[in-house]
Amino acid sequence: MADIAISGLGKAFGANRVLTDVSMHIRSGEFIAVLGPSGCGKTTLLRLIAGFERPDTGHVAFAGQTVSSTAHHTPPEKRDLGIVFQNYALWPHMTVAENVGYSLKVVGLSTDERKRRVSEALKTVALTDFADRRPSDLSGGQRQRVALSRCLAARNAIVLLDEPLANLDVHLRAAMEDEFTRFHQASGSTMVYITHDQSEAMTLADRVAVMDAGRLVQFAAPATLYREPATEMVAAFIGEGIVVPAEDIVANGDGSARAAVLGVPVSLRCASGEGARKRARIGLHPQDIRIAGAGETGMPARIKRLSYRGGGFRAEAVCEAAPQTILAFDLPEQAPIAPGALVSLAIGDGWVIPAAA
Amino acid sequence: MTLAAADFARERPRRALPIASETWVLVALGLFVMGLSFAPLLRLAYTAIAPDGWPDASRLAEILGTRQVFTATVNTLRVALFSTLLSLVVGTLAATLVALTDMRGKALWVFAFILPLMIPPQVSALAWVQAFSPSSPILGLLGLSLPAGGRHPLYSEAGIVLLLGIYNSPLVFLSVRAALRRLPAELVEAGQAAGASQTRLLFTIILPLARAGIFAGAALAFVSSIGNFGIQAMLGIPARFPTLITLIYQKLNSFGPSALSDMAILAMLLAVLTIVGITLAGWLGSRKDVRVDGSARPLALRLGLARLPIEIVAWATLVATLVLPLSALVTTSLVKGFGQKLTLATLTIDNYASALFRQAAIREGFFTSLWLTITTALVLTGLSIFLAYFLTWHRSRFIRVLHLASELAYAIPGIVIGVAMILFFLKPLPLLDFSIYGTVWIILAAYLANFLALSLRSTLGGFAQIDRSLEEAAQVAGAGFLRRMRDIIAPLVAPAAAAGAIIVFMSALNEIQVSILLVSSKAKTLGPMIVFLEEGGSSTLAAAVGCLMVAIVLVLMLTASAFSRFLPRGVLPWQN
Repeated sequence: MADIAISGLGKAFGANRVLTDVSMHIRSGEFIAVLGPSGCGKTTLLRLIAGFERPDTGHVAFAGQTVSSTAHHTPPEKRDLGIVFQNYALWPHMTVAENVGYSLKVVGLSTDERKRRVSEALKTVALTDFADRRPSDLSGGQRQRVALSRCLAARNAIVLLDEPLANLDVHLRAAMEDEFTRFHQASGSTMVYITHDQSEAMTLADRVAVMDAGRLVQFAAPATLYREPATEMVAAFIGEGIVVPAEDIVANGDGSARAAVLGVPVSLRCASGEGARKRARIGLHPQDIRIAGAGETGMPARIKRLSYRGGGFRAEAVCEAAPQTILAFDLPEQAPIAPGALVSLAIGDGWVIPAAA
Repeated sequence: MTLAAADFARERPRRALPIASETWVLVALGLFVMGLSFAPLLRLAYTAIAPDGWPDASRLAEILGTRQVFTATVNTLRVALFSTLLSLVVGTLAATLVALTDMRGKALWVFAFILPLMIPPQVSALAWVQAFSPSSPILGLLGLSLPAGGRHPLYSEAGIVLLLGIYNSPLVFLSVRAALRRLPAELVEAGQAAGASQTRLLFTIILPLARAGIFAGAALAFVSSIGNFGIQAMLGIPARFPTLITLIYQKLNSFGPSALSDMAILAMLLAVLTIVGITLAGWLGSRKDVRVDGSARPLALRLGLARLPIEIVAWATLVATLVLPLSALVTTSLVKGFGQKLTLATLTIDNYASALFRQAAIREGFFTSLWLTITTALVLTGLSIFLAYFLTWHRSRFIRVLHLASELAYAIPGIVIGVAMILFFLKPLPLLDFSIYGTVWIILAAYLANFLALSLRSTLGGFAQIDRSLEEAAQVAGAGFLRRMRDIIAPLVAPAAAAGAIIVFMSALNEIQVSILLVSSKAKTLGPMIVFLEEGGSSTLAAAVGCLMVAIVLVLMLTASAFSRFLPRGVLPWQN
């Protein structure tokens, strides 16, 4: 078992800073996802953990042993980790079994032991019948499973996955997500899953590290990211988030708060250390917004666009009081509302985004 | 899971070398390339500029100021420029036909069009001389015999220009074809949509966009002309038309190594002309750099009614430039005495028997060449795989300098490499206390220096097709540098590296300009043999040796073609 301790990691290519002061601790056996838009530095983070790049600052340790620092660099071949590459990186001149057994051969395992472990690994991913095929004879999903069984056979304590679903058809992805979960249960490896797709990250990972512009923004469980985003970026990025301004925030001391959004009083959640603030930004999700009931004070907004989402509509409405604030929410299919209609909206829940440090 | 950290520590002996194997390989590559490709050239420059240890401008001026050198320089430039123009016209036309039109039978035509480039130039020259001699068996058949007693029409400046032009046309062809194939189809389609006719498209859109390729081809043809010893010697010496390259050869022949410092100056002059030519063409080609992107779809301009006439002209050109001289060569090789008509009575395989079995000198030359070229191809292929690995994935200033040195040693004429090798290796080697001058080893050294770039280019093409993650996957699987090279990288680049090996093998077997100054009674190679035989009056024997060389070339080309489906496109130049 191996935990991964990353602290103060920084990397620049020439004048281009791609990673700044990233620190995180990944527990042994944990499945984490690194999530962020393209260019946020997540691939560089993976390559630093793998040892393909050397850090400019900070260090990385596996199970307490430093593998990367400015002074010391353990080459990738000595790190005892597995990688599932975006394009699978199966060696075209070897059979499936040879691909899976290569790291065992390098280590110098006896042929019998190697065969046993290869067939065990192929059985886990249901590819036993394909052992003697070439990678070129396999489908995309099968190649992915070969790549996984390569890590299984090697019994890598740490497995890095670099956007492993990016090259697969949508209908294969759900099946492969199950495959990753089973792999994690079978191997118990510490897994780091790089992706730009938040639904993959939220479904698979115990914790998700959100990155933006080379920095680690928040590292937390999926539900925490969704309900308690640490920054505006996370609030807007996760779960179709909406960020709106609020005034006169007063924390109740029990994790709830009162505030005014566009002049309408609302009840919100907030961090425990939160006091009273004149202004703040709050994070919402479409699920938190509804048409105000009779007798309820809502904020007037005009429906700009309705898009059909199967079973209902996603509505976008422009607030009358603040035309730059657009609220999205869901409407049932039968709702007698057309674009241009004036509605009154109520906010049922929201999160006071902590003040920037 | 009972994994690993402990488990693996037991399984894997962690031997930590004090210095990584990558570093050792880099040091070895550096020593090899700098020692063989760069140091001799440096020695040459030093001797030319400072023959007695200090810069001697007056000596330089004295040699360069002689009438003889002036004439040779002007002659060199004239034949190089005129033949480049010829190559440019023929090569660009051919590339346009092949890359852009719906001409039929392209594959075979391309193979035949490239073939002259693969035949040793001295053999081509011999074939042409025999085709146009007054007793020509071929012209005789056509009833076109030239008057006897007159001067041979090819022993002239025009003859040299014609043959150099034909020999180098494939170089222009290859360069222009590559440029045309990179042409984004959208740009042409946009022109069509704007209503331009096909001819107009060709001259206003297609050829201007391919300009960089045309100039690159011209530079190659120019450099190749300057350094082409085979044709310049076979035609220029009998015509008393001195060029720089024949002047160097004749100086060594008449004065021996004592004239080395004079030769160094001439060789430097030749090298400078070459480099100026490359630089100029590079500058012309890159001005108002046309950078285009988009999808390169094959274009097919319709030739329409002109298709059949154009096809006839295209094939007739090949008959005139390839079939005619080669059949003259074959005919000459099959008769007892030069000038005889080929009849049943005069038909003999005597010349072949002599070439293969009776003449010890030819047989030795053949075997010397064979092991030299095989050794060269093998060593350079191994070297190129490592060099290309670093060039592709671990570029550093050091490795770029090695690349430049290898390209330089290939670009400048082989005879210059020859002079540089003599200068560098004339003195006994340190520690070993003997000189390799006059032995086959100096020829091997020259081959290794001269042909590295050829092997490297092909291998680089192979690396460009390998996904880097294949190596990284092996790395995380625990394989060290040399192990990855053996298990993963070498098998993946093997086809491209093998194609490079074949091209090196053919070039080294065919070459004459590198070894012409280095051969001795103890070390003979096949290339210069033709010149010596022809100079010695054994035309029929020379023809037989020439035919054998063409046969070897053909076999090699066809063998390589048989494996072409494993190769990246463009590695085998003769493939369409």
